[in-house]
Amino acid sequence: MDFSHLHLLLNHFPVVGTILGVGLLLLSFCVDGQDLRRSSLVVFVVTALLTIPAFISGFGAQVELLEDPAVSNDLIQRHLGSAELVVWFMGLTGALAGIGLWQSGRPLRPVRGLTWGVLLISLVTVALLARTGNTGGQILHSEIQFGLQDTGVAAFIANFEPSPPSFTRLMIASQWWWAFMMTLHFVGLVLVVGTIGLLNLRVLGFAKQLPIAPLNKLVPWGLAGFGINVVTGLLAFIGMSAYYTYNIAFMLKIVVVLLALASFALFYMTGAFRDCEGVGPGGDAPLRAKLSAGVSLTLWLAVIVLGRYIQPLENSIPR
Amino acid sequence: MELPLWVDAFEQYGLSKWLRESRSLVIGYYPILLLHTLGLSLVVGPNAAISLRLLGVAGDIPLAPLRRWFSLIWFGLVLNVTSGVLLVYVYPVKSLTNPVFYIKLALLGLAIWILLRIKTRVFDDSGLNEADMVARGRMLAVWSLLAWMSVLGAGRLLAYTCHYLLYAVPC
Repeated sequence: MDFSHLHLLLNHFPVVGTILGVGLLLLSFCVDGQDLRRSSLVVFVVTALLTIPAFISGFGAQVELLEDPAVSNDLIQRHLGSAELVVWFMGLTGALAGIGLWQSGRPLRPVRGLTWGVLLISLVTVALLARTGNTGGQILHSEIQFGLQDTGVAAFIANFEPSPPSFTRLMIASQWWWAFMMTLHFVGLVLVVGTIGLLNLRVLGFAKQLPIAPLNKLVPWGLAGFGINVVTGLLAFIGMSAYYTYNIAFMLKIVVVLLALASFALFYMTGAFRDCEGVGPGGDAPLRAKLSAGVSLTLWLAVIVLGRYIQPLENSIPR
Repeated sequence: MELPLWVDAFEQYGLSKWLRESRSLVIGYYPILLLHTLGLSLVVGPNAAISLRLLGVAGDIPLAPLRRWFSLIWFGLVLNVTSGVLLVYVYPVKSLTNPVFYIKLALLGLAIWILLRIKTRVFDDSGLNEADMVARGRMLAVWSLLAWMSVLGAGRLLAYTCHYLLYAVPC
C-alpha cells in the first residue's frame, strides 16, 4: 500500500476544511445566517472525521520516507509531535460542532456560548494545523527548510507538543493501562449498540410498542460512546502504530466507521428520520427509513467484526 | 505455580487443539471470540439503555414496552455462555490459571442477579405505574451499569494479564 500518496491526499482535508469552516462561521456572524452556521458546523464535523485517516496514514508514510537516508527523522518526529497535539483540538472542534448540529432544529435549550466555543477552539486548531502542515512540508521540501530550530509562534507551540517516542511508550508501558483503554473502547461500543443500534432495530420493526421519537433521545449517549472510541482508538494507534498500519482489518474498519457515520448523518439529513419520527406504538416506519436503518445497522455490525479481526490479520498488508 | 496434569490433558484434547490451531476466520478461535463480542453488545447494550432510562435519560420513552429488549439480552447471554465455554475450551490453561477469570465469573453472576432483579421487580409487575417502576429500578440501574462495566473490564484484563498461554508455556 502506498501510504505516502494516501497521506498526501488526506492531509490537505484538515487544513483546508478547518479554514473553510472558520470562514463560514465568521461570515454567519456578519450576515446572521442560520444556514451558514449549520454549514460551518457540518464542515467542522466532516473535517474532524477525515482527520482520523489523515493521521493514521502518516505512520506508513513515515516508514516509506525513512527508506531514503537523505530524509531527516528529526524533522519527521517534529511533524508527528505537532500532529499528536492538533488531533485532539481537531476532535474537540468536531465534537462541539456535532453537539451544535444535534441541537439545531430541535426544541432544545441551546447550550449558551457553544458557537463561540466552536469558534475559539477552531481558531486554535487552525494555528496548530498551520504548524503541523508547515513541519510536514519541511520534511521533503528543501526549498522551505529552515532547520529544526523553531522561532516565534512555532517555538511557543512546540512547548505543548508531546515527544512521539515517549507518548508511544506511555501507551504500551502497562498492561493495566492498555486494558483500561480497551475497556473504555468496549463501553463506547456498548453505548453505540445500545442507543443507535436499538433505534435502528425499532425502525426496522423490532420492539414495535416503542414510539420512535423518544428513542431518539438516547442517541446522544451513543455519539458520546463514539467519541470515547475515537479517543481510545487514537491512543491505541499511537501506542502500536505499526501493528495497526499493516493490518487490512484495521484499515477497512476505519473506512467502515466513516461510512457508518455517513449513514447515520444521512438518516437525519435525507428526511428518513422525519418520515418515521411520528411513528407511535405499534406503528410501522416507511420503507425509506427502514432501508436507512438497515444499512446503518449492517455497517456498525461490520465495524465490530473488523475490529475483532484485527488480531488474526496482523501483517496482512505487506510492508 | 504447579499446573495440574488434567489441565494439560484438557488442552491436548483433539477438539481443543483443532479450534486453537485453526487460523480460519470462519471456524475456530477468532470467530468464537467474535461471537463473544457480538453477544456482549447484545447483553450490555440494551442493559445500558434500560438503566439509563431508569435513571431519567430520555424520560418520555414508555417503560413497559422495554420488556421486549430482554429477548435481545437473553439471546446475547445464551450466545456468550456458549462462546465463553468454548473460549475456555480452546485455551483452558490461559483462562483457568488466571485469578481474573474467577473474578470475572463472580462479577458476571452479580450482574445477572441484578438483571433478574430489574426484570422481576420493575418489569414483571404489571400493576406498577411508571413512577413506581422508576422508584424501584433507580438504584438497581446504578448497580447494573457498574456491574456490567466491571464484567467488561475483567474480560479485557483477561486478555492482557495471563500467566500461562498453554500448559507450561508462559504468556
